[in-house]
Amino acid sequence: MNWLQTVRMAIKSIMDNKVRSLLTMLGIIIGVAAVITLVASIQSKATLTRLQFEAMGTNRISVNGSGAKTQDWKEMEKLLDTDLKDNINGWSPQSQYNDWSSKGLQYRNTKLDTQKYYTYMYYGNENYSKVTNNVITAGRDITKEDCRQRARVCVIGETIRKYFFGAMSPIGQKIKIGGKNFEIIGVYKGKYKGKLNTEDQMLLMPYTLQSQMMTIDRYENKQYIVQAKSRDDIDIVVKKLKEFMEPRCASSNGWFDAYSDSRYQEQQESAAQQDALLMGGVAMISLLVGGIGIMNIMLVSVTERTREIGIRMAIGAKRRDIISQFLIEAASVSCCGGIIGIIIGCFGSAIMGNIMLSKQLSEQSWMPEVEQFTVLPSPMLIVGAFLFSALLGIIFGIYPANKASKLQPVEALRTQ
Amino acid sequence: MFFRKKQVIEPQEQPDKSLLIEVKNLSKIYNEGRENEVRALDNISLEVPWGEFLCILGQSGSGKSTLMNILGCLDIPTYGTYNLDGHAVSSMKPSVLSTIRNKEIGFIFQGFNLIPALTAIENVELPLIYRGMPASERRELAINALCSVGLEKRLDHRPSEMSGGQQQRVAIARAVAAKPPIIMADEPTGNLDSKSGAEIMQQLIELNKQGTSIILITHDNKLAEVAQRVITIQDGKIISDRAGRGGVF
Repeated sequence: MNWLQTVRMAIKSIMDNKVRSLLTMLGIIIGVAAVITLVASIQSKATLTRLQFEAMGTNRISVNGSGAKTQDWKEMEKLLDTDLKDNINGWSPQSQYNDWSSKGLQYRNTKLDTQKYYTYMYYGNENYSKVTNNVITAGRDITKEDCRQRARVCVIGETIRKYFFGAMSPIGQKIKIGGKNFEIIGVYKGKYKGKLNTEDQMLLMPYTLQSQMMTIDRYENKQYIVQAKSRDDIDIVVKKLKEFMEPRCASSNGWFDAYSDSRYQEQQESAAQQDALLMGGVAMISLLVGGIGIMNIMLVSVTERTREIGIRMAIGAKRRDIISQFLIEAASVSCCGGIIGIIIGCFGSAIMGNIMLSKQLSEQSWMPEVEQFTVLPSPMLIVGAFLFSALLGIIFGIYPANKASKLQPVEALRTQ
Repeated sequence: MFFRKKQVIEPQEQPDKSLLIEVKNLSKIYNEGRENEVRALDNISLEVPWGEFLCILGQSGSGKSTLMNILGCLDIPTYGTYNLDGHAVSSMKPSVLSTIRNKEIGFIFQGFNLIPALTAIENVELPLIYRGMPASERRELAINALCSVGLEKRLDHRPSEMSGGQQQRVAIARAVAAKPPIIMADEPTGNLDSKSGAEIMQQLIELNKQGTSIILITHDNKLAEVAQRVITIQDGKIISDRAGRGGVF
């Protein structure tokens, strides 16, 4: 007997008993919806975390130290450019400008009015934007030439641009840092949706200006930022740098450290995965209950339809036909339940995602500006949920179907 | 071929191809050897040629239904041999029996035994579906069969929307749709009024005239006279085997 015919018959019998079928499906519907909502929200949470890390620059290694001679730092830079060349995407000094004079950032917008703004200002080289995952939207980045010439130029963050210039183009405008005039050559694209304390307020100057802008004492902290090519490269780079710099810094009572956020990121990701497993497992229990519900109703159906089974056998149905009829019926019920559950789960995860997103926005200011962020379940999750519910129907249909097929035609025909 | 066991072909009696049904020393015993042993059929031998209209007559509890179940391959005998159309049925597996029921026998039951959820045409199609017939072909056969019993206007009605006589005609259509060599009818008029019953009998007679063998099981002496041959069963034994009036109702 062809199975398409059986499916049609099964769907017919579902439609004939609408209320009963719906109640039978309820367990599967709730189970699938719960699994999808939970797993999708946890996966999205993990994605959110990953995006936050990516916004800061992936595979980023912070290098800090003090005590070593300038020559030693120069040699470390050389090491990065030669031995570790294949392990890194780039590196840059990253020192913060210390605003001892409290003059902040000044912009004279009219002859009489000067606006002030206090913010984070960094020294970096031509690679700084790349390794910190910042993109120039207007103007240009700092170049090697700027660094060599100690040009008084700077790239400003989106928040600063908005504060000082509004709709006006900031390129070529003069701005005062520590009382010295700087030319704005570029603007970074905004990365975060928040208001305060974000990288978008950043300002970047060539690192070679550092000596002019502040006094450097012998034990001053040196900071670098290095972007490794991959996660595996992080360990190699960190190990090499430590081996090279630790003794040199220690020799004059200094210290050295190189570390990466990726460890923390990994921990967060594995924690999210465990969450997903745990929650998914809990939701699985309701799927199991749903499966048992199907088995129960199929057993009732076999008893109810004993006579029908007898008739089918009398007119030529084989055991195989009866088994496939009941299996397909069970699978159809659970698949229908699965489909309804998937639809509800999609709505559920969309709602959960919105709640999550608004919570994130209200609690944390450093929400990344993300277009690719969705809370909808992944196609794999949907396909998986569907196949699993079909499988559930088949597994829990085996016993009733087998029971039906073992009926003796004479006995089955005799029941009323 | 020393590793393969040599197949021993047991000498078997070759079934007589000229006979439709050949039953030898058939017994059906329930709870054998216990106190409540019941001999529903006791050492019955019977031969039915092709095309015969046979009636098995007996009171309720005489064993006539048991005999029909065995002849219809719905049940297997405890002892004895049964050859149907040259097949040794008594030693067959359930799946082969299903195929034989599907291809060789059309059943008509007292309680109609239609599937309530299916329409008339779907009920008639069902045995053809199990045979694996393509959809267009079986639909045509089903429509033809329903037309031949005068139900061309009831194709899409469910059993609950039809009278008893109409339901039984659907059952006849189901039985004859695939043109099996035998029709087995177990009290086909038992649940019907006399007029509908007469119509059903007329249709059976018609089928017999077209060459189908018919086995009619009944307790009604008057009805039995329609057959060419009447076998009377009592306490699981054949007590008489005589000619009926044959083909007149």
